[in-house]
Amino acid sequence: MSDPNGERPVVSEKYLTARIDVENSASLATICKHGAYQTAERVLKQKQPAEVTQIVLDSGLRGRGGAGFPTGRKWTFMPKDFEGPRYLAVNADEGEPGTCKDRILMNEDPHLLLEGIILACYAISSEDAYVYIRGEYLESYRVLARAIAEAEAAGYLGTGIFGTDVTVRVHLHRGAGAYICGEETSLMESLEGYRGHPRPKPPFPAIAGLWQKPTAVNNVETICNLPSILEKGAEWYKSIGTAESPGNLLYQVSGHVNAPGVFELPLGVTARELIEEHSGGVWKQRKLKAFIPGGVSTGFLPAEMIDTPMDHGSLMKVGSMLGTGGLIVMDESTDIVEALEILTSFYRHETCGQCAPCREGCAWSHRIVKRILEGRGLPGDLDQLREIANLSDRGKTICVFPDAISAPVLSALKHFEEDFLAHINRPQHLPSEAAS
Amino acid sequence: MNNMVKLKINDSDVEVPKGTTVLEAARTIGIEIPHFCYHPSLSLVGSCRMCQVEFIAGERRFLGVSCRTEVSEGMQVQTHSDGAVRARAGVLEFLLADHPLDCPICDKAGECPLQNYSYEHGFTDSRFEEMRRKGMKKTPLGGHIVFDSERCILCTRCERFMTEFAKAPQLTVASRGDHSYIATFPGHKLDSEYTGNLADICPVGALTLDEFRFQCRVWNLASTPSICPYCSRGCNISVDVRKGHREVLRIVPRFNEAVHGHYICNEGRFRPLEVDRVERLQTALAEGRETTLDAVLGDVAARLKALEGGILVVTSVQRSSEEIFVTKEIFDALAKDRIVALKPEVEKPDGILRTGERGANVRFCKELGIPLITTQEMMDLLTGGDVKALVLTDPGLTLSSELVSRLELMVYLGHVDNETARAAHAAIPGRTWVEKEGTYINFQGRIQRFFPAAAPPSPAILPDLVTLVRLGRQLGIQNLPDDTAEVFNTITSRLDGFQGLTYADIGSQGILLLDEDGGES
Amino acid sequence: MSSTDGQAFTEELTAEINALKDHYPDPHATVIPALILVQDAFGFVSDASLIRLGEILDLPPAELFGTMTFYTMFRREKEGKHHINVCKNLSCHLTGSRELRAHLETALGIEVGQTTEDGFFTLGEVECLGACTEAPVLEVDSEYYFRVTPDEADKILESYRQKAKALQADE
Repeated sequence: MSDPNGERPVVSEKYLTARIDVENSASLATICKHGAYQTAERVLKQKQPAEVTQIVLDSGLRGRGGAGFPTGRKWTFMPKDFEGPRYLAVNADEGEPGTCKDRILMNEDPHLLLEGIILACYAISSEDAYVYIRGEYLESYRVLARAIAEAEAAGYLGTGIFGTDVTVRVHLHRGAGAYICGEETSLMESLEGYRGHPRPKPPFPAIAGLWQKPTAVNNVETICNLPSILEKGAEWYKSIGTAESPGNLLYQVSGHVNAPGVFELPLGVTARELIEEHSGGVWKQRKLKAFIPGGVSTGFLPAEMIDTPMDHGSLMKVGSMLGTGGLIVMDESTDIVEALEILTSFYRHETCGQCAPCREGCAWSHRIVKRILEGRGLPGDLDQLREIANLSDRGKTICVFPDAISAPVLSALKHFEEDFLAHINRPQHLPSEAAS
Repeated sequence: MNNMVKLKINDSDVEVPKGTTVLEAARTIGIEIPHFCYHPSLSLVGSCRMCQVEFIAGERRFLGVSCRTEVSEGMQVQTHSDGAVRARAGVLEFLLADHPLDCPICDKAGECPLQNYSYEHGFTDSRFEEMRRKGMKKTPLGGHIVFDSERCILCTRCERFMTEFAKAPQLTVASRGDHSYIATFPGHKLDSEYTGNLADICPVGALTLDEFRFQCRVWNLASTPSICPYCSRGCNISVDVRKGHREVLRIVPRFNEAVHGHYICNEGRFRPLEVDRVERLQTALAEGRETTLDAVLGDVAARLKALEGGILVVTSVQRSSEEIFVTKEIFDALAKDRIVALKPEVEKPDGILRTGERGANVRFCKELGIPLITTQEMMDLLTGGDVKALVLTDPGLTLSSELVSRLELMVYLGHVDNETARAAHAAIPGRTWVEKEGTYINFQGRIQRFFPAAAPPSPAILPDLVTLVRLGRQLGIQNLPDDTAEVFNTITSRLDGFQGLTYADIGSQGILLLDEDGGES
Repeated sequence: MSSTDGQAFTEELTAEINALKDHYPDPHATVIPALILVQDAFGFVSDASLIRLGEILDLPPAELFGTMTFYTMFRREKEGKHHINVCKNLSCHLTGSRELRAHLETALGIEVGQTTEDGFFTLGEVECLGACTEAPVLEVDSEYYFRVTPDEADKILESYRQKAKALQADE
């Protein structure tokens, strides 16, 4: 239950990672003893697809892939009267730097994901789910492949599952190394066998997705929420977290902390709690300088904001986003310009290159930041970085990649301009510590 | 069900068919929205972002690309609002930032959209302080094309053209991000009859023609409308020569939706570059000795009149309607049904532009009832014994001097100084198609005009039509005009289905007179 | 210039590639899984393999080349027996990946992007591997190693060498 003041949510039970410490948790036989697939069977036998969608809608579940769009609402965009296949695309292309939670779910409790897939497919009347797993996650691919084979053998996947007339087939599809393929339409393009170029929207995937058929694209963690929601109901789900951000989230804390890790907690915990109570505090007895709340595309926040609740609305209010909940901690020794050089290099490497503003803008931004880092910064550089962001984000390109790079660039300039000035104003013949 | 959509573009009310894009709708009211990746003949990508406009929905203003957004009822579009101009200026700046400063040496200068938009947007300075990218600047891709990767803006027109129009998917975008580059499969060269069009559709100087690189600044070219003579499609072209000079430096297509659209094949593009690279017959010859035109015409006329029958006249499916018509008028009495032309070679049509019928004016020959015979039939005629005189006006037909010597009279009219011309009793210099004007009728039954693009090597070489009419006068045919327009009027007053047509009616896109099966349209 | 692998596709490989179609309504979707099969079989995807794949899938080689080069995991040339990748993104950088990389370069005597003289190890740098809470992360042939210190890196390298020696001894 949320605190009536809407502030600190009460700690609730875990339901995403409840089973990951069970020995052999990936084995069907083992995990069924812990309740796996029971909800799916019951729902398929007792509820209609529309009811499932309604429950998920009522629960307020929001996507866990970074955008936070209400999952039930996304499903309702699919056409009601459509003859022909619909698809579920499971986004397991976890590539947002700072993010490392879907891997854990897939490796440690693959049947939770499969059960969630059954529920999602049932809700949207899809018979085929494609799990797009980033190429680097070879272990997850093998674990899931084994789990699927077990589930098929048990009659939990395939045709006529659980003795009903419902068909759900799960297909694994590996990526091959491209961050952009985590973007919905790029994922579909890549799955169809092309370069991962995002597609213009409209049309939205719900109307024309995989092979131009209605498709729901959902993140791994999002889907893993479904069994518990369908088991315990929308009211139960809403009682966890905050009003606008219900449920638990797998927060990941990495960087300059003593005990980095993945923590299942109700949405709305503060960054301070995550850092100090769960991750052992900033390491080496140092002070916090900056943090990135939810994966690098959510941008930098200064230490003063450590008490920001880590939920969708609160982070948007301070000019950031919840993103994937991948919190990266930076101590006082961090040169923000050095961090930004790594990030802009990343975006430059990963932009698909279709749109001129993004392709050229990412490269240009990176080159400016690198030049500043190397001690050859110019007075006009900071404004130029802002201008590049201004000219490429907010709807000027096919997808929101420029918005993703703009967040760390603009927030770094906004909150840590002194780091930039230190490089620009440093006498040219003295190397910085960072650049050596 | 109403098929039309009403929308507002800037302050104008516009009504266009459902399915029209905003960019096309703007065109209907004379607004040309800047663009790179969009091309009316290719699939829509919307990736260059240059065609962005602003959409107004109540209080909301938002940007979008106009090339692939379909119009909707009540839509409000601003093409030149601050937001729209700023967005497009942004795209332009991003493209120019790391673009090489090649204008002074780039063939595209003067007809370059990137350059033109830069002028329109008033760009004079660059805010790019980095070293500009270094790429491969002259990679031969094969198919007459040279690729400069530094200039490429990755609009992907070339890739889509090869796949969609040329049906030869040999180009791709390789790698990713700002390392992307256009490529063939490693080690493979472009292999298609349509590669020359790549230099036209590339909106910058990234794809250029081997044959045209560094030849001439486009503003120093004199461009003349003409018609490709190599097959019966008659693609509309422009013949470009350096102003004040004669050499054909390049051929570019002229758009004609009904005939061929935007493109031409490589033969039409590159073969004309060779048209003058033959020995030209510069003066009239009698028995191989230089003489005056009038002397030769007088002699030929006298000898033809003295013969009683046995005259064979060979015209050509490559000649203009005007030339073929006067040939028939002049020799009708003397040669009767022995006015023929070589049947054009037939190849398999390529399913794209090349019809397979190797002649520009086959339809007109058929209209006039001129028999088209094979080379073998021609040889049989010439060696059969009852042809005493040959008037050969097809420079594409070569005869051995031995064969010529068997004839009592052989008259040659053509531009090539070859064995046939030298062996002829009388050789009269003619002009190439580049140096003449007239009309052809293409395989669709469309009459199209072509104009002279270059002067002949010597002013003594008259247009073939004038020469023929003069010969006609020597033979007693006085009423033929020697002006192409007047000859055309004579044709149209004489032939069924052509009544009343003048040159003015043909215009720049031709006029469909007959249908493809030969009936009147 | 990519070398030809000189190896034809075995019947098994061709059959595996063709069987991929069963999973998709459109056979074009088999392109990337097929490329992965080819790379798994030969260690890299040569130009000749791309042409052969184009024949099997009935797709233009130019398109396959463009698709393949979009994705960083595909190799056009034969590299070392084992691929070591160090993550270079933020969380790993904050916890010492730069030192780890420098250490590996020294230990192996090569720079990032190169292969050791004996052809045993290729060293690479990659973007975020999705294990940020276990930084710094090392990946060898898709196997993840967590919280890798320079000393541990040495042990990891050694373990691969030992395994190779053991396999050789068995032969």
